Amino acid sequence: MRPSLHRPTFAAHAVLAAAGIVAALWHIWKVAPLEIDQIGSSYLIFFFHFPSAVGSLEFFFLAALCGAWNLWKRGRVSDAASASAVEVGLLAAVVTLVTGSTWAKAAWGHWWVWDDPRLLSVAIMTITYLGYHLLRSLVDEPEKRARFCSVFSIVALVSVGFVHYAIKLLGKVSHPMKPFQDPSITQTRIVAWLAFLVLYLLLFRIRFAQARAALAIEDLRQRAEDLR
Amino acid sequence: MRGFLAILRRDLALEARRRESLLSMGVFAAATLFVFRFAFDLHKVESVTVSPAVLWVTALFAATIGLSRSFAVESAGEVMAGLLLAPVDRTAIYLAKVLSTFAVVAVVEAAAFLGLFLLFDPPEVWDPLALLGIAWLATAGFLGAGILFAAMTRHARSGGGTLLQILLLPLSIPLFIGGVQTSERLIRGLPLGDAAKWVPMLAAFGAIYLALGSVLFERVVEE
Amino acid sequence: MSAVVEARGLVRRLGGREVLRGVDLVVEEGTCCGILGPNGAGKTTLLRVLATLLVPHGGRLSLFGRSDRAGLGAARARMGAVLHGTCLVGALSLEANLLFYARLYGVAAARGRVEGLLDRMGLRDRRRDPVSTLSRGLLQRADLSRALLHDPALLLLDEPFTGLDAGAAARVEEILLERRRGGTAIVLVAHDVEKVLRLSDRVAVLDRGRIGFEGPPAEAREGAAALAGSGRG
Repeated sequence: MRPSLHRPTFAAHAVLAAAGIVAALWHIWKVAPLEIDQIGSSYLIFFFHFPSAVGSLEFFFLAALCGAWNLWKRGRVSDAASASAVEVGLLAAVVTLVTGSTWAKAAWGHWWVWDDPRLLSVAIMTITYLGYHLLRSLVDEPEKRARFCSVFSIVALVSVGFVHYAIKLLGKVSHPMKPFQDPSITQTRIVAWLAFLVLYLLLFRIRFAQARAALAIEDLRQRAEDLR
Repeated sequence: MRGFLAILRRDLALEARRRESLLSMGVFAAATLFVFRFAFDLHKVESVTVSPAVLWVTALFAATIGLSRSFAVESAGEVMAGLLLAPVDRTAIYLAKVLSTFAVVAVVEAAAFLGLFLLFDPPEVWDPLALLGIAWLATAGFLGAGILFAAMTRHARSGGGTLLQILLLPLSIPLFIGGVQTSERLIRGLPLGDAAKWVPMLAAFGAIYLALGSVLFERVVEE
Repeated sequence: MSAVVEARGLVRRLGGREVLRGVDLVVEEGTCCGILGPNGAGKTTLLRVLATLLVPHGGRLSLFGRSDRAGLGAARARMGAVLHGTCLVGALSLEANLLFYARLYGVAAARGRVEGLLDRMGLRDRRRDPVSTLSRGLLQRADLSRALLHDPALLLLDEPFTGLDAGAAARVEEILLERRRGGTAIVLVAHDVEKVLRLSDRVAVLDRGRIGFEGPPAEAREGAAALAGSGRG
């Protein structure tokens, strides 16, 4: 299957992503309340923060699945998928951290809040997966690299779970959750989540296609060299 | 089982003869303790406040050194291939490596406790055995993941020692948290009380990473 | 005579490049199969696949009649291999190394067996020396001893004669012939064309990942000469 960014499904996907963002923005503007108690209008950042947080987890989970598949079936495509998923997951995690930090500054006056277990977990998760990147760039042999990264994608996911659990066990103060039960907020949250999911999936598809194209180019180069 | 014992025996014999790992870990632990001792002004800061953190940083960092050396024998020639050619379960190789590394790390950690006693002057009522027990429990899980990573990072460019540390650090945070929480009580001679909830977490950490390692090691160590 | 090694269509890739492109090989018990070919042909890769060190990306490998994972794992107990580098730990003595491998393979009466082999290979007086002090030639013999410890039914050898003087090489040849008479199947990869032709019952010539020729040594002589003549030998 030739990886190509010109196939009609990409255009359709891009249109869908744009529509999703528009729908999310409309909801934020029209449906969700303008401000909530104690936090004010700054809470609106939540609708960018939450989908990215969930998105990062979704893609790290996808990366682990692709990694497991790669360990079982061996092959370069599942490895490329896993790596692409990690990249998108990292992007989402960074967005989470930036929006979370911005929110913290706007709502509570600090750029960083040590008492927030979720933000802490995401920060550690980001460092964990930056390690994935480092591992990937420091192992030269492609087959070993694929295997090691696949193993790491699985172990990293488990470690994220443990880190989150341990921080929660510490009993730190969490995000305030009560005002978020409001149904209009919930509806907006779900729309935002879907919109970002579609957007992140589009980014994933682009990245994945790029990775597969790079593999195809490398193959052609090898073949040309062999013929010499 | 036979392979497991043979490899364990060989690794321990090598260590007993050269003591390279033991010495590098021991010196590192001593140096770390000294640095921390001078970094804190114990007139201004209570010893029992900083001791738990100092202890855990020293212990786990020293363990990382042990891990970076865990496959030193196999890095020369085709020694690893020699193991893989034999009718030995890859899981047996993994467990033998975990246990042989643990043996040395456990000794260094016990020595670190002695160092802590000398340098940080813990209260008389402190419970060193319980502290050491929890340290060993956490170390088991740490090595479970660490041996898996060490087998990977040995193939990385520039030795992979730094990479190993970078990969292990975020993973070991639950160990630091659980370790310090329990140590804070034990070093004051208090019963664990609420902090007892960390012990099952440390045990689960160990169980899960050892299980993961047992399964995944085969794919990491093959050529 | 049953086939000890049966390889069909072995494929092995390195990155995007195919190092082995569909290799067929059959080795019967009590025979020696020599593998020749220019550098980069894939000889070492092929040997490592046969040794179950590398998993083929395509094709099927059968050892002692079994091609499933468990079967190949079990085959390791009956297989001995000598590779490019040494499998012995430099810091340990020769004797300690061999005892380790004897235990690893579950060899009965390990000490006696190790001592016997050391005698046979002429290594007895170096047995307590650390392996790192052994010369290349002695190291080769030591590795061969290791490979023979468990009395394997299949021997895989990658350049076993490299670094050996005439006397040592002759001794190794003698041992290989003896094992072959005893029913051991041997796969021999070497550069020394004459030795391979002399020792083998069948010869396979590997070129760029494919078996270009397979047959008795006499015919191989012409094939090898042709390859050498074309400038790629």
